[in-house]
Amino acid sequence: MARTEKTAAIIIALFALIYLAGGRSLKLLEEFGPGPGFFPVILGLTLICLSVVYYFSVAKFAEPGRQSPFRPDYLLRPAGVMASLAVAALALDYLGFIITVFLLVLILLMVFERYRAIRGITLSLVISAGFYLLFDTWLRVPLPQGILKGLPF
Amino acid sequence: MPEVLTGIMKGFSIATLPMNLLLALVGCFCGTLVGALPGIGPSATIAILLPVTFGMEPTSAIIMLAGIYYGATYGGSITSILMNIPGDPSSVMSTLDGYQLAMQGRAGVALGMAAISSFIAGTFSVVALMLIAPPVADFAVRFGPPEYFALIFLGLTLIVYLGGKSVIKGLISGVAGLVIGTVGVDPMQGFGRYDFGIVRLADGVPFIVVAMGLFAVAEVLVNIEKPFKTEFITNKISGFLPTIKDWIACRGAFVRGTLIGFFVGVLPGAGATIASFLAYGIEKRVSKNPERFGAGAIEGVAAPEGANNAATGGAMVPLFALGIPGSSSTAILLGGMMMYGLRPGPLLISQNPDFFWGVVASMYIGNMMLLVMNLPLAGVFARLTRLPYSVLYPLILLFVVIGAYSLNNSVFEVWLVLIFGVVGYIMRKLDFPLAPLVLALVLGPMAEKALSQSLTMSHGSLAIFFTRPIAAVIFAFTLVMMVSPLLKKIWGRRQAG
Repeated sequence: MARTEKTAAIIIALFALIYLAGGRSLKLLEEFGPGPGFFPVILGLTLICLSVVYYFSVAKFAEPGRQSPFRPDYLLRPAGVMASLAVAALALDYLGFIITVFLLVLILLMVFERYRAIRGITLSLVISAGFYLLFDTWLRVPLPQGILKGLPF
Repeated sequence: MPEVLTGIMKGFSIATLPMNLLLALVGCFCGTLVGALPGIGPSATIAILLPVTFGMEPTSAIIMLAGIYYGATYGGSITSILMNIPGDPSSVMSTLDGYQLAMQGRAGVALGMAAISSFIAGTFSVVALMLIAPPVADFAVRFGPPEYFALIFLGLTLIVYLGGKSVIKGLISGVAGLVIGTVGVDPMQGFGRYDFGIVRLADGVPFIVVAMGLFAVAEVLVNIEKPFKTEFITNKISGFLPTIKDWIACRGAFVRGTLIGFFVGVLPGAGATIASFLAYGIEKRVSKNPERFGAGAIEGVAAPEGANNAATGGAMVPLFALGIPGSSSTAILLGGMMMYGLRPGPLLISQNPDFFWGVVASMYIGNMMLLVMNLPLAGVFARLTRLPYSVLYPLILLFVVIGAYSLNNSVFEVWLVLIFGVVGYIMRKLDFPLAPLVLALVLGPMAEKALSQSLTMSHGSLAIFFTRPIAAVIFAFTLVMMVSPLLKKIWGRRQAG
């Protein structure tokens, strides 16, 4: 746990440094008061200070023997679900809403939840059709049609 | 007083419009359901449903979203009592005696008392909100940028110091929120910052995307790490009305829970969870038989349930009167109000009386609806919570993806939501509180504007924050809050030494 938290402190410090570097072209002070870079500089420096305090507080007060919260066997399902969502985001404009959502729910139910084929397909159909009705038909959200563009629904 | 009466009458004429009644009912139903369902909280639900409300009138939209907010605290008691699993953190204390009562065959009475206590406290808090918010707003009209900056600083400090286990993690979370808030055009000169040339980021990172990622996606990711199984009390639930003995036992708990809840709710960062813990602790302390607590004392259900409901009304006071949210849910409500074109702050009530009074009146009606829903329908909600998480989480994720897509009809927001989902997951795993980040993101641009205006007024001198009496008092209070944990530690060491 301590190692994970120390790594987190270092990542936060690096992020703060990049943030400060990214704002170096912003003016700190204008003629009558603070410029657009004033607040970001304060925040960047504060974040660096906090990450240093965090690092040393972890080093000093870490509970010995406490496991890292990122256990590989626990990460498998969240990583898989996020990967499925990322693929769905990539496919959304091309495949369109109905096909993408149907495939996404089908994968979540059958791959990650081990539903049987008939139950998984039925639920995926009902859910994707229900969401299409709710958002496209009732709430009039213009959902992407993708390869189904031109069809009467 | 006549203004209050005129206002609330006007409010009722708005809240009783058929569409607003329906939306209040939908909000209360959804709120009770998500309060009862472990694995999804009110913040996530408000964030998920916010994009659905974009086509609505602001008053109607907030009536529904507020219904979710205060309805969730009603619903939280259902799973606490029947399953020993709190539906939301503010219902943790109700598990102690509520579940014991259910094991003794008094689940119906425990649910009934939770609903009645919630109704009494919820109604009181709406009356108090109606009486307190307008004068507070009138007073706050005198606030200039230094006072406003001091107030925002106080709000952020309180949520960091009261809201989490680790102050340093709360501070990092809050500063990270402020950092994200600097993306886009700066509020004074209109200079583009940290937008990487992406036009969509010119207006900043949409807070709703951050809220959906942090609360909804991250919650799902944490919950699906391992199979989600729950145990139910399987006996038929009946007899919701408490006995006269129960009423007598709870009369003090109603009053104490309500008052503690309301005043704790007004404080930014404290909220319904701390209110329910405090109310339970005090109830146990004043009881003549404290040993009954934890073994099925009905007051142990009435006090925390009253407190967490009163806190939701209390939290609306700074939201409506000052434009300062005190919790993640009210921060999302505030963000929603800004998206509908309202300008939260001391002028909100005077400039939008129909909105304020309409929402307040709907809260009276909503509390009535929730009492009716939670007494005879508690069993129905309990059955609804048996919806397997394996079906629920794909629905949550779909709402998130479509909600994000519908903001600009683009996949860009979907990517942002996924990124913030991962960030939220990592934060949850490392015990970083999420509320300071969302609150700071909403308040950040306001804080920067107030700071810049103050320093421009004083030609760069920080003395402006300490020479104006109201700002100085607020900063002094903030300072006391910041050093109090340190002083407590030093005092404790001296006592021990």
